[in-house]
Amino acid sequence: MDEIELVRSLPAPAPASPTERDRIRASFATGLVQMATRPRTGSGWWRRLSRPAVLAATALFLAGMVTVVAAGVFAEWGGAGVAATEADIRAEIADMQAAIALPPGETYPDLFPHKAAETNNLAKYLGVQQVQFYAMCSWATYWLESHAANDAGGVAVATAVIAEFPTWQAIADPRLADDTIRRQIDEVVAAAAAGDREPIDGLVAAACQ
Amino acid sequence: VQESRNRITPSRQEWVMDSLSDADIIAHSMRDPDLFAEIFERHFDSVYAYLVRRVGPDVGGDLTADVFLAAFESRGRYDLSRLISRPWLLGIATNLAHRHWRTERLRLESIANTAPSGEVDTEDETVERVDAAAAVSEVADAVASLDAGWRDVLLLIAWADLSYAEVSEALDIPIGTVRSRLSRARQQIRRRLAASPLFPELSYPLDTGV
Repeated sequence: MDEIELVRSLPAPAPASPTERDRIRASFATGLVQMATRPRTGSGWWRRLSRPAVLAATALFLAGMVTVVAAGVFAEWGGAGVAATEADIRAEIADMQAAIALPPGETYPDLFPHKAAETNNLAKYLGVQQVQFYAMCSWATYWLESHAANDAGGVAVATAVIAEFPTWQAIADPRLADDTIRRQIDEVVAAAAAGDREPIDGLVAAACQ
Repeated sequence: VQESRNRITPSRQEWVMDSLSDADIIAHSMRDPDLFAEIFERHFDSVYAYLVRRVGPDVGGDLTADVFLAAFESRGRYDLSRLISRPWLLGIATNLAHRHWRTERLRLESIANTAPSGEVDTEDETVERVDAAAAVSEVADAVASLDAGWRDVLLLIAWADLSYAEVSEALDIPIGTVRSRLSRARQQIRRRLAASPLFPELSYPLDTGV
């Protein structure tokens, strides 16, 4: 036996169990989401990764389609009160959709606020709100479904995204949301981290259906 | 690629993915990042086994996730002429393991301190087990004593089964350097072990044909 064989003969650890593999896969996916969901201002390599990283993370968890019904109550919350054109709103929607990925398998529907346009009520940041509220509903619903399915990876990814909700403009900007809304979102963030589904159920029931 | 995957059946999807090299997948992942998950699935076992053997299961598990994160981050610089990404991933793993040298040394010490276990039937069997444990201890000590660069080369060959060319790729060093580091690592191990009665085969000169 030569030196290489001797080193090769040192005791080898057991292969990863399925649980350990799932844990590491979730850790990898969560890391990608954390890279991708940091604020988009300031400097750093992660700015270039934002959307790709979220997509890669979500692709690790090939869950079924999440059904979320429009923005519901959310849509009544905001409004910056500054008139905007259809082109302004469509640009906001396009920018936000490029910045915020949805859970696995989901794509954005048409989120242009046609009723507001028909009644000449388009306001600045309405496009931002439409996309961010839709994404919040999608991720909250994805968290609930992953939790119900005991899908630790899905819960981890959704929890990481939900933790970023308070930094999203639709919630953080005082022109668009008040402290009551921010408190509700903070409760959802804490509940997701703690594995408590009740406040998340409440949000989805109240705002997403 | 993504459009094709969406159109075809699951078995067809698997076939298409199987037919793609790592380099293909990494190239496409620049535009379709979710494809990078396939790199994780293909090479998880190899990266995990290597890291856990070096730094133990607790640190090794976490470092495995870090390897794939670092690989995803730097995939734009991947040399697409290299069809298999395993050496690249193990190179990243080796660099990350350096930050945990203290843990690695403790792990080697714990291997070195492994005592013979289990019931034995005869005195001869007891002697054999004690000798085997002592041999493991001496080899682990010898590995721990190596210069970091020599140890990396030796462990990538012995524990990750990389070829010299793959080690060269993993560590981004010339293949001649791989050969010289391996030779020095083997010589040092041989010097430490040759005096022991447990390794009579090492009393012969080192075969330089490594």
